[in-house]
Amino acid sequence: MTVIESALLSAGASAPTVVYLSGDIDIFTTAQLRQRLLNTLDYSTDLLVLDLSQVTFCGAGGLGVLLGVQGRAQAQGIRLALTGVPPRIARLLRVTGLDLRFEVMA
Amino acid sequence: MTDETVTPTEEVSGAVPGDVAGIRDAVSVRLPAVSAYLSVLRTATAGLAARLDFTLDQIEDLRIAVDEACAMLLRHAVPGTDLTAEFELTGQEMSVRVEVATVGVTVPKRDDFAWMVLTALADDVDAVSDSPDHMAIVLRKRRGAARPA
Repeated sequence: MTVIESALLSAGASAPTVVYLSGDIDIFTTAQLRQRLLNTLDYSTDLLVLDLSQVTFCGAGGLGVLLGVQGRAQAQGIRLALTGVPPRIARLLRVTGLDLRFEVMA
Repeated sequence: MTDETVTPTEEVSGAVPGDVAGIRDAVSVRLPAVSAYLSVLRTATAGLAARLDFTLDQIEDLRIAVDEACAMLLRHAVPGTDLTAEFELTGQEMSVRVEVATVGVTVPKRDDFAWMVLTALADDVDAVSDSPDHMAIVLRKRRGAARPA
């Protein structure tokens, strides 16, 4: 699992902060991912976009991390959105009803 | 990283002796009961499901279901022991029993989000804790069964 943050390159406070995730999100990697994303909130602009296009696996634990980070983001006035959601993850979001909880950007 | 193995190809189907409905295979996998090895088990699950000509969606369901079951078990596993996975493939169905060594009788939390996902993705799920020092989850998925939207 790899996390690449584009925030430091972003132009100004109005630009979205984009974080690119890649690899497997499972119980081996969730703790590290949660910490990385929570750290990102400290310098994120008002819109934090998680690009999931290179994620090769995500189960319930991974969705739990995304939900938790979304909650913390909201508490800090940051909107969290997902983009590049692979069909497999989109399907899991529908099966769990969590598609209604996340903003998905094209 | 594991994607290359999940596509059921003509070659894989062709390698099965006789027709697919005639398959009856048992495969056991033993791994250290630590989370770092779950990706290996997911890959094995996908490869075996491909032998039964499951659809890509069904293969992904199984991959996630096995992962959820193991994630639940690993929380209770005795450190330094193994996780075993026993796959049985019949013509239409794959059943998987995953098991770890525990201290005392333990049962998975059925109100857990992971349990909800597991039961949504597999056709049948049973938690087996009939022995005081083991805990197992058995799940089954049938080819062609109605699948979640």
